[in-house]
Amino acid sequence: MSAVRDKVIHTVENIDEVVELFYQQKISEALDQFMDILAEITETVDALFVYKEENKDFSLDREKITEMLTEAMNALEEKDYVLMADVLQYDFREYLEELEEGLEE
Amino acid sequence: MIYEKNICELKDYRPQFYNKIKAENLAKRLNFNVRTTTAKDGNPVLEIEKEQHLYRLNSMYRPLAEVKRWCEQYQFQNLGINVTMFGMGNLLFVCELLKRMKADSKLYLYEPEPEVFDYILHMVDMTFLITDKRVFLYVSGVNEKEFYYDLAKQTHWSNLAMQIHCCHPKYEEIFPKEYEIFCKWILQCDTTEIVNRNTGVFFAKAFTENSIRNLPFLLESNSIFEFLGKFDTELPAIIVAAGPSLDKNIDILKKAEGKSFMIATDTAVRHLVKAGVKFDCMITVDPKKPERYMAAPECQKLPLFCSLESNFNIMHQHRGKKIWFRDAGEYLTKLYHKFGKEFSMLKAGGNVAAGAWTICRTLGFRRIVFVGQDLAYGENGTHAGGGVDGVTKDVGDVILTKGIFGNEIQTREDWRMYLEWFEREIADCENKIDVIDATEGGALIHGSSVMTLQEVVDKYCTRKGDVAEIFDDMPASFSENLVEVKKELLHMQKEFQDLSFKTEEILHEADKALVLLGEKPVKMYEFEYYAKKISKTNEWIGKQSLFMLLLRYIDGKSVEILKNMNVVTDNVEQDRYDMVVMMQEYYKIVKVILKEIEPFVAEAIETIKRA
Repeated sequence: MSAVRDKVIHTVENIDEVVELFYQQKISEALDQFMDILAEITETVDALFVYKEENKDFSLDREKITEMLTEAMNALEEKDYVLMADVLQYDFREYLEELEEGLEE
Repeated sequence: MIYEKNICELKDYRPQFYNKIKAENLAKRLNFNVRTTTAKDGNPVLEIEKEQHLYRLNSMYRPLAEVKRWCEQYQFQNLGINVTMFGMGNLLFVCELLKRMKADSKLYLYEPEPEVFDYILHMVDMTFLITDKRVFLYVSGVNEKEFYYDLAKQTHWSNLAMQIHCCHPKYEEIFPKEYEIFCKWILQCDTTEIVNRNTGVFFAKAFTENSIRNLPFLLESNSIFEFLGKFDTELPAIIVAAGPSLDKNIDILKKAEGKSFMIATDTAVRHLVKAGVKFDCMITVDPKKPERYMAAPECQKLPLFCSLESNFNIMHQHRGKKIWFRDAGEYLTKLYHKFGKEFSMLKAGGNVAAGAWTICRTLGFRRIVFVGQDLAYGENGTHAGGGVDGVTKDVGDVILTKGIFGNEIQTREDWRMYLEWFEREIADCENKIDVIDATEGGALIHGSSVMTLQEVVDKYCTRKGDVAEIFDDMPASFSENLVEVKKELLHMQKEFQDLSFKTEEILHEADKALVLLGEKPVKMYEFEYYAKKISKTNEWIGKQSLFMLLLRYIDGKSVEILKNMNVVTDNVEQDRYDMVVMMQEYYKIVKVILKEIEPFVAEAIETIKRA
């Protein structure tokens, strides 16, 4: 399996865990965990951008990813944790899963 | 349409709640708005605007999925779960909780904002909630005072670990003060139950021994209910406790003699006698209270409010009228009802002054005065006369509370618990009783007004009462059917024999059931035969009057056995096995206890026969 695909799968799993905590209102724990995976999310997104550079056919909308992450960060700043979880879960995570299908094994 | 449907169901299923809503004006708040918007998946989202800040109470994407994931953190497989929830929201979270809760679970749902409730009543079909018998509904400003008492009734130390406390998302943020109070109520409830359990363990044998040995006194005693409506309730009721401040104003009590209803706690009696104060009656509840506290000849003929569990030695040395105000299990209730007389369980409150409060409140006094009710450390000790409570070090660290002069003073955990009990009681009176703290020291009791005892005497002890005559003129409860009551009490002998026999029977059946469970494969048909027999015998035993008197002792000795009785695991076979073992261990304890109390039963029977 390619390293990028690995990263994406791992990031999706971590997002699952952290949004669960947010939905269950375990905010302190969720924030700690989110801070831990934030670097990973950034790395994964960077890796996807690099992959896009190397594979022109790969369908990746940079603006869409940037918008989603910005919306998640805005929700975090507003302390609207459920909205943040929603964006991570239904926008970002689901887009990552779409992208994963287009990545080489 | 929704509103009419909800109201119709409320009238049918919750008429008391409905009447309270009608009576209350669920007034609109300034800077507060409730509305519904729509999520991306079309489901409703509740929004609250409070002081220009907007709070969204559901997911803007998929509210139903959010609700399911929120509920996943809670386990519902155990028995007898109490779920307390702060905040109704638009009922999506509540609905999911109820789907997962078993039939024997209960949901105590508290809405801190009447305007939200009013909104939901108009906009959301609440009929599933209203008609669900597992749900207890509370709304601030309507019936919030009932929350604590209802939860306390269903809280037992064996289900404490199973309780689920939850808060609707965002509610803690929107209503922080109300949430803090809500959590405090739950903590008080749990703490009280733990204290009750510990008290039960400590006094276990004494409760039962006293209950049986005190039975003969039933032939010549009264119940508090016979005195309802008899006293002049405009007289001030003065509860004299033995806090350290009693030393300051005990002599002033002489000016209240004959012009009040003065009830002395057992610990205060000897101080009052020494000071030459003539009080009207006394109260004792503690099963191990030293009899020397009430040994003075001056008090032996005064009416004594008591319980079957009160110290037998005190009851035996006392020569006056005994008046039951607390039941032991449901023994007195069952006996009195059998002979067409009123009796029911009254609140205890955990200490003797709380018992005195319950007596004064039940008798209808409209002014209750505390004297010697410090609920805090004094300069020279914990009690009047410089006495120091020997269990001081055992009841936890010193904590601070507000004193009557606004300063911080030292108290301890159990006193603070009693203080909170009194404050809840006073709040529950809804200003119908004028509560005065004339202790002239100690902790501030919220809801009471602070006066000196001299001021109380000058203002309220202004006319003579006839308390003594009322006590003297009341014939004993069973003076007209003494023979039948004697026969009923003497039936205890047969009950004891039957209980002993049935206990052996259950132990035998449990042995058989365990043997069957050990076989592979398990003969379920045979096992279920024994399981049903055990259940039936257990039910029969639970209904016996004598068993009611043993219950506190049995509970006290079986804490470790019963602590997991409501736990349900994924392993059905193991659960089945554990249940039978638990039943077996429980009845081994019952067998030992029956042996221990046999001499007390014999003594009580002889005394009743001689009476």
